[in-house]
Parts: sequence; C-alpha cells; structure tokens
Amino acid sequence: MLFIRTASAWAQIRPVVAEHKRPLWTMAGWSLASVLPVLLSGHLVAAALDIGFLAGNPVSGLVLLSCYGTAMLIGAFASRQAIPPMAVFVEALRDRLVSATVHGILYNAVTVGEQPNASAVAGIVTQTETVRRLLPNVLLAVLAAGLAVVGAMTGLLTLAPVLTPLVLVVMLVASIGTVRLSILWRKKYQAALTADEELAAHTAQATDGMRDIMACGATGRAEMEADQRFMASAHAAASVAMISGARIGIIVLAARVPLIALLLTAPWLMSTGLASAGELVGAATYLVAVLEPALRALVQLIGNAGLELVSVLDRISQHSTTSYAAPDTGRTSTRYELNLHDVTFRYGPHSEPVLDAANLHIDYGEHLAIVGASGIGKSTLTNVLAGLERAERGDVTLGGTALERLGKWWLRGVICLVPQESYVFSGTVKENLTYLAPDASERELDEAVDVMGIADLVHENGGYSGEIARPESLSGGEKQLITLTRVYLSAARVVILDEASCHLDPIAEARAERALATRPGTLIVVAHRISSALRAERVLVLDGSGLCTGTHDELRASSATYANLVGHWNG
Amino acid sequence: MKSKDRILLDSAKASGWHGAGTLVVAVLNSLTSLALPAALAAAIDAAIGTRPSSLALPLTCLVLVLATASDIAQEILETTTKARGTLCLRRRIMRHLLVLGAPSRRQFDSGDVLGRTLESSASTASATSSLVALVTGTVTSVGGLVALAFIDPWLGAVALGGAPLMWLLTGWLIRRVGSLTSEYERAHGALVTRFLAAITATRTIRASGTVDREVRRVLAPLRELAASGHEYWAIQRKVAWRSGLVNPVLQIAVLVVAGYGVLAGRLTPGEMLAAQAYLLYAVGILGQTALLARFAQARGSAERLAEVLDSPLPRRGTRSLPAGTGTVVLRGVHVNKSGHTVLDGLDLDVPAGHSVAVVGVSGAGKSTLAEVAGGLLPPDAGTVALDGVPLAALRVDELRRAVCYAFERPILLGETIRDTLSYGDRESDPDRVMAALEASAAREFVSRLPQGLDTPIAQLRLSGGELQRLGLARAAWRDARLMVLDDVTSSVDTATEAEITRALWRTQHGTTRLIVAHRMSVAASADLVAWLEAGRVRALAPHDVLLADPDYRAVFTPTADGRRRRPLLVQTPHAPHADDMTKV
Repeated sequence: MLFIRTASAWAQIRPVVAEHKRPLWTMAGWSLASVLPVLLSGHLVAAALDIGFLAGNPVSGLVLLSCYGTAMLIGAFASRQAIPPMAVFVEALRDRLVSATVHGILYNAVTVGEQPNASAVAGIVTQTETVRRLLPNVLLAVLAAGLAVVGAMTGLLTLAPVLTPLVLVVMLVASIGTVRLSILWRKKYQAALTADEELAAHTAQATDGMRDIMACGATGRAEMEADQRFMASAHAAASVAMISGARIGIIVLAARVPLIALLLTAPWLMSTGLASAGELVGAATYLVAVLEPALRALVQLIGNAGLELVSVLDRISQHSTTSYAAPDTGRTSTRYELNLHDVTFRYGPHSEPVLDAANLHIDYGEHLAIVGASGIGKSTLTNVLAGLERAERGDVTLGGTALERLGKWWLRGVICLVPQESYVFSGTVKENLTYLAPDASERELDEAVDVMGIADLVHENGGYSGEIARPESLSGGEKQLITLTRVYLSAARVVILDEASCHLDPIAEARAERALATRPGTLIVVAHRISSALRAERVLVLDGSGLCTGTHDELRASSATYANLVGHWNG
Repeated sequence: MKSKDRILLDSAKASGWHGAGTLVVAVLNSLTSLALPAALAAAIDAAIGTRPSSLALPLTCLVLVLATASDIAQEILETTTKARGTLCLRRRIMRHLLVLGAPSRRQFDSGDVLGRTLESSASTASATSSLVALVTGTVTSVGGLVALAFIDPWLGAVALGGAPLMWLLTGWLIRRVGSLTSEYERAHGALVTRFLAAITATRTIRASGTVDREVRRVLAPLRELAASGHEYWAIQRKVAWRSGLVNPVLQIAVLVVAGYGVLAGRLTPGEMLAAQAYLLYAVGILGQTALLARFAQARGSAERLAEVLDSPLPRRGTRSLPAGTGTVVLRGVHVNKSGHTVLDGLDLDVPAGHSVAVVGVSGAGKSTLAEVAGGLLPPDAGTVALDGVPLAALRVDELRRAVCYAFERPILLGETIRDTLSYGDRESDPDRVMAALEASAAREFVSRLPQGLDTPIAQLRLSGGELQRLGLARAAWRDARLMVLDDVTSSVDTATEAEITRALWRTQHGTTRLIVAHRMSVAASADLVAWLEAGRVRALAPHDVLLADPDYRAVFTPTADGRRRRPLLVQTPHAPHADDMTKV
C-alpha cells in the first residue's frame, strides 16, 4: 500500500525532476559539501587536543583548528550555493502541481461531464503550499543528515571501537520502533488530510451560500456545522502529534544511551589504554554534537516531512489524473442541417423518457423555439442536439454525419450551446466579449455591441479595456447580455440558447433574439416566455407524449399542451 | 498594538494550557540544554580522572532523562498549540463572516475568503510556537554566553563579538518576509478565485470547447506567484550566507582560546567540550533565522485575517418585533455598488398583507431593492422599517423569522431535501414541509424520486425550474410576515408559474409579498405594482392602472422596432457612507 502511494506521488514529481536534473545534482553536491565540517569535527578536535594543546604543542593545535575553520567556511558557502537550485526546483514543482490540478479537474469536467466539487479546491489551496513548505527542508537537509549519521557513527566507532555492539543494538531497536510508529503516524496523517479536505469543501459551500444562510436565518446552524469540521481537523492534528512525540523519544534515546554507556566505561577505557582523553572527548563530541542532531533531523525529515509530502502528493495526483478520452477524429462537415433519427432519451434515471423514438429535422438557417413544462427535458434535448450527451438509442446527425464521428473541437466551434449560467470572468470587457471569437476586429465588436444594445453596459465598466474585477457584482441580466453578445460575435453555425435570456427583461430579450436571428446560421431557442415562440419561424413543443412541431398558429390548434401554455400568457 | 499583533496574541491565549505548557516545556528544555554540557564536562573529567566526582554521572543521567521528557512534550505541545490556535481563529472568522452577511460578498470574493479561513489561520496560529521557540532560543543563547564567560571570561568576550551583527540582519528580514508572504497569498487567492469561477461554469466551458484557454487563464497568476516565491528564496540565501560567515569565525576563535586555556591549565578537556556546546548555543541565535522567517510569515498571514476581522460589523439591534401584519416602509434608501448608485433616495410603502410586484428594466435596482427590503443588505443611507420598527434596530433572529426569501438561483444547504427545506436555527415542523412543497408546485417531482424527501442533496440532478421551486418551498416553509421573491419563476414555464401563483395565493394569503419579476403575468396577478426606474419608484399602483402608460407597457412588451429604452444610470462621485445606519 505504501509502495503504491509512493509510486503515484513520484509520478507527480518525476517530470519536474527530469527537467531539473542539473539543478538537483548541483544542489546535492553543495548539500554534501556543507556536511564536511560536521564530519571532521570530532576527529579534528580530538587531534587538536591530543597532538596539540594537551601535548604542549600549541602550533599544531592551531594548525588543526584552522583546518577545521576552513572546512566550516566551505560548508557555509556550500549551504548558500545550495539554495538557488533548490528554489528553482521547488517553484517549478509548485507550478506543475497547481497546473496539473487545475488542468485535471477542468478537463475531467469537460470531457466526461463530471461536476467538480469544492474539495478539489482544497487540493490547490492547502496541499501545494504544504509541498512548497516541506520540500526545501527535505531536499537540503536529508542528504546532509544521512551523511552526518553515517559519518558520526564511523567517527564514533573508530574513536571508541569497544562501544560497537551496544551502538548497533541500540540503533536496531530504535529503527524498528521508529518504523512501526511511522506507519501509525502515516495513518493518522491521512485521516487528518481527509478531515482538512472535508473542511475545505464545507467552508467553500458556506462562503458561496452566505446569502442563503442569512436569508434562512441559519447562521447558528451554519456556525455549528463549521465548528464541527474545525474541531475534527484540530483533533486529527492532535492525534498525529502524539505519535510524533513518541517517535522523537525513541530517537533521542538512541543517541543518549550510548553516551551514558561511554561515560560509565570511560574510567576502564582510560586505565586499560584503549582510549585517550582526546579520543573520549572526540567520541562524546560525535554523540552529542553530531549523531543526536542528525538522527533527529533524519526522523523529522523522512518520518514526518517525508511521509507528509508523499501523502500530500498522492492526494494531489488523485485530483490531477485525467480520465481517458477518445481521440479526436478531426472530421468536419460542409452542411449544417440537424437531424434526429429514432432518438430515445431520458432526463434522469427516474424519469419517463423525454424522447421516445423521436424524429426531427432542423434546416440550416432556421429559427426554432422549444417550449414545454419545467423539468420535461428541454435542457437534455439541447445537450443531445449539441452533441454533449449521447442519446440512449438512435442518432443525431449534422449534415448527414453522426455527431460522435465528427471532430470534437471542430464541433464545439460549430454548434454553440449557451446555458443559463452566464460565465463572466475577471478580465477586460473585450476579453469577455471576444471569448468565442478572439480574432474579432474592433469594427465587428462595435457592431455587435450596437446591435445587442449593451453600449451603456460597456461604458459603465470602463470601455473595452475596462477590467471587470468582480464578476459577481454584475446583475444576472448584465451577465447574460455579455454572453449573448459573445455568441453573436462567434462563428458558430448553430446557436442553441438554453434559457440564456431568462434574466433579461422582455425588451432586451427580444432585441437579443432578433439580433441572433439575423446572423447566418440556425438559431434554436429554449425559453419560457411565449414571446420567444412568437418570434420564431417554427415552434417545437415537448410534452409527455413526445415532439410536436409547427408554427405558432398551427400548434395552438393542434397541441393542447401548447394551447395551455399560451393561454396563461397575458402578454 | 496593531490589529494583526492582537490577533497573534488572541491565538496564543486561545491555546490555553497547551500554549502555557509549550512555554514551560521550552523553558525546561532550555534549562536542561544549558545544564547538559556542564554535567557532561564534569562526568568526562571524572571519568578521565582530571577532576573526580561521584555525583557527576548520576546528575548527568538525571539531566538526560529530563531533557528527553521535555523533547517529547515539546513535540506534542507544539502541534496541539497550533491546532487550538487555528481552531479559535477559524471560528472567529466564520462568526464574523456570518454576521457581516451580504456585504461580505461585495468586499471579498470567495477564493480569497476560503484562503484566509483555511491557510492564513493555520499560518497565524503557528506564530505561538514560533514565538515561544524564539524566546526560549534567545534565553538559551544568552545562557550559553553566560556559561561560556563562566568557564573563561575570554571565551565570553569572543562570543559577544558576534552579537551586534545578528541584530542588524534580523529586523530587516521580518519586515521583508512579512510583506512577501502577503503578496504571495494575494496572488494565490487570485488564482483560487479564478479556479472557483471556472468550476461553476463547466457547462459553458464544455459547450464552448474553450477548456485549454480557461486553464491558461486560471493559471495566469502563477507568474506573479513564482516571482514572489523566488524573491523569498533570494532573501533566505542572503541571510544564510551572512550568518554562515559569522559562525565559523566565532567557533574557531573560541576553540583556539579554549585550547590555549587547556595548555595553560585554566581549562580541563571536559570544559573544552562544554565550551564547544555552549558556543553552539550562543551562536544558535544565528540559526533562529528560520524561526524568524516563519514568525514573519505568520504576521503576514495575521494581516490578511485582520483585513476581514476589522471590517466593520453592522450595529446589532436589540428590539423585538411587535405584533403586526407586515407593513414595510422604505425612506430615502441609497445603495451604491462598486461606485454606481443602484438605489437613489428610494421611497416605498408596502401595505400589509398585499402582494407588490417590483418591475423595471434590467439594472433598475429590483434585486437590490429586494435585498434591502428584507434586511439582507443594509442601505448606505435611508431607513427600512417593518411594522414601524427600523430593521437596523431589530434583533437579528426576530428579523430573520419575520422575513423569508426565495432567489432565482438558490443554493441548497443541508443534507436531504427535507433538511434543506427546514434549514435554519429553528426546529422544523414536519407537516409544514409537505405544505411548502404544495405551495411551490414541487411535490410531484419530489415524490417521483425513489428516496423522496430523504434524497441527499449531493445526489440531486435538478433542472433550473426544479431548483427554483425547491428554493421557493424553502421560503414557503417559514411562517413569515414578509415574503421576498426575487425572480423565482424565471426558469419555470408559464403554466407551472400560474399554478405556483395560485398555490401561493392560497397558502400565503395575508402575508406581505414583494415579488421581483419580468413577466407581465406576475405584475397582473399582484395587488400593486412598484415600477422602478433609475433607482427610484416611479409609480406604485395596480397593474391595470399603470397599463395606460406607454412607458410602462414598454417595460414588458417590445415595440415595433424592437429598440430597448433604457435610462442612463446615475454616476455619483462620492458614495454616502454606511454610518448613517446607526442614527436610527
């Protein structure tokens, strides 16, 4: 299980590592160089004492100490040099993680139609920052600490070989204890990450739904629910801390037990001439000043930070893997009439079929209105017409070719479905208007603005280069006007409006529909206002028994559903 | 004290005994660290034979045991202190946001708020342990210096030489890192906001086939993010180098002096070892830079929290609502949104128990009027009164109980459908749930679901009209005096809308209703129509009376040439301030 997780975490880092091999090797080199003085400390001090100061020979003592000083200067320089390549790698990794998450989530939403959830946002907000925080420590210090441990052990055992069996036994016991605790730590940590993700999802929903919470007078409940999540997160963090504490205890004892043994056996060692005073001081130096800090650092790095990194990277990779999507055929068509052949479709898994072996022909250039009761499946019909959903049975063709067999991206440019939710993003007015036609000229833009009647709206927001800093401050109607202007500018041959003018007042709606109808191409409008049906050439009524088409007058006579819908309209 | 520092202090206090424990343990750790080299020196000297002592070894063992215990405790308490501090800060922010309500969405966008609640709070809470570690680290360093001087005054003098350099480095570092952190988090918040916006628009993106461009757009702030990230590392590097130079010079100097001391017989070999350790502590202050950086980051995050927590809360009223029938009176109401005047000195009298339709062209201020009339949005100037009591003076829970809202795009909260309808602080009455569904013509589609009322919200796939009807049911469930419906039938076809209007009339007869809509059918079925133009009420009269005016008809029906007549919005150079609210 650990290996699978590590493998997928590694898959996240691997491309960045491959691109940054040189900085990483540079950094590794400098990191190792920075450990140098630490490794030499014990021996050099021991020698300075034994050969130099204790033997009454200050000059050799000085020489040895200056060697030590030089080594430390090299070490400091090396630490400094290790930072830039590390920074390059870490910032690149953060960029990649954020890009992969955004890419993965949006692509999945688009190719599969999977609605992303707010916990996906947690992937970006907290977890990439965790990586950015932890990785530098791990990178810079793990090599150094590892080498320091090996060096200290070697130094210690060469200075005081009699301690070898004890040190090895202590190390073995400590390793086993540490590994088992680390496995437990990892489990607790995963639980903490899950609690954090749930927290992020819930908080996102609460901040989005603030208006509704206020209106329902539910601030107490919202606060309580948020509180529950906050507390769960805090408890999870506390249980992780307990395991950390136990683990640090084991590690610290691993360095201190040999020290006590050293102190206990020192008189005997000196009296039998197995070790000199300098050697004992040197061995103690290694234990206290090198081994203990290095072991601590190792456990911290690999046990805490390292495992945390692996868990977080694994989580991020879950969000950023894209599902398999069929390759684009790239086929196009020169004709644009739409046809439904024996199409069967259901709105939701519990509904009666919306279309049952339905047949429909829509000429290129037609202006068609689709009406029907709420929830009957008009949106689904538009999805099927646009090729965004596949019918249960039967097929939909554009110019004689089935939609599935046409090139996906080409099709998206040719059939433009405009949903009710208008997407106005923070960018300039021009960027928003030319979203579907990035190459539109200023003249074309002026014409579209004039025809759709949004000159005032554009002016209020600072002209074409004005920034829409806060899209949610625009009203629903204003957003829809921008979206409809976008569609007017686009090169789509078939425009499908799925209640895309429901927030507009009737005058603005009429203007928009008339403008779109004058464009070359088919216009299909789904709306609730019968005024839309009156403006269209043909009307399609969707009700329990299927499709009915005809002009407004024909349908009023032939379809009871239509007559009912129209009869209630006072306009 | 600056508010960000006050927030840091609050988070420290919130950690309770954990925070205090961190301090105690850190002090203990510091003391044992200071005692250990001396004890070891004595033990080594005793072992070597230079200075025999029978106490040295047992004392050393005791110090080691205490040191181990404090290490373990410190590891645990550091995290639990942070967890508690984070909890306290998150609670505060959430509570503040919930009281602020609708205006909070005007000032901060959701990605920003999310980042502050989640990341900034955790970062700020880590300040307590960083600060404790900083303080005890400093104490240990000073202690180490004193111990060095105790062993040999020359040693102390050498070590003291390095102190001034450190102070020069640290002050500058805190400020620079603090501002970099705020910049970084801001760029991060911008990215998250774009991402959130794109997530809600996946249907559009899917239909337009523009996903590549969207990904690029969402990731645009990455450049800025990388720039401030790199700057941060550049500073770290400078500091690491400067402190890295001072360190070796000091160490060698101390070792040389100690060596000569051993030669002269002033020091024992054990004391030379101790001197090394004490120097490590004394110069350990140089290694506090990482802690300083983290503390500086925490301060930067605290600043972001302060921005939210310092935004003024509306004054909470204390009056309760007297018995009444739901008369709403608006006088001189001004509302500004992003520099535009939306409502311009609006006066409106909504008679009790009547239904008033609010109509006007797009942008005339209908939704804003709806928000203001029910107390969701406090006006920048003017008063709104319900049954004679100004809304600003009412107790919040009384106000919410008296007013219910339904929106054109409701966000459904809660676990199941039943839960979402009765979502609120009050106990739910199960019978009302069915009645509410009837009133919004939603009973049929809910009963078609296999789990019916107990269907989890997360699993629902609803059309726009079904969503609106559930939102309406949620409002109808409450026994409110004033019902505000903002464009709640825009996604519903005319037949269903007529059904809803009839059902509402049946069940809500006697409740004052304020209905925002575009359709003439809605205006016709209301008792009165409030015709909004350029932020004011142009007329308040029944629909039939107003029909005589061609301008009124033009609001609903297109004229022969389809041209839309739209009054220019008034641009004001200065916005009236919200402090007028308190003078009620």
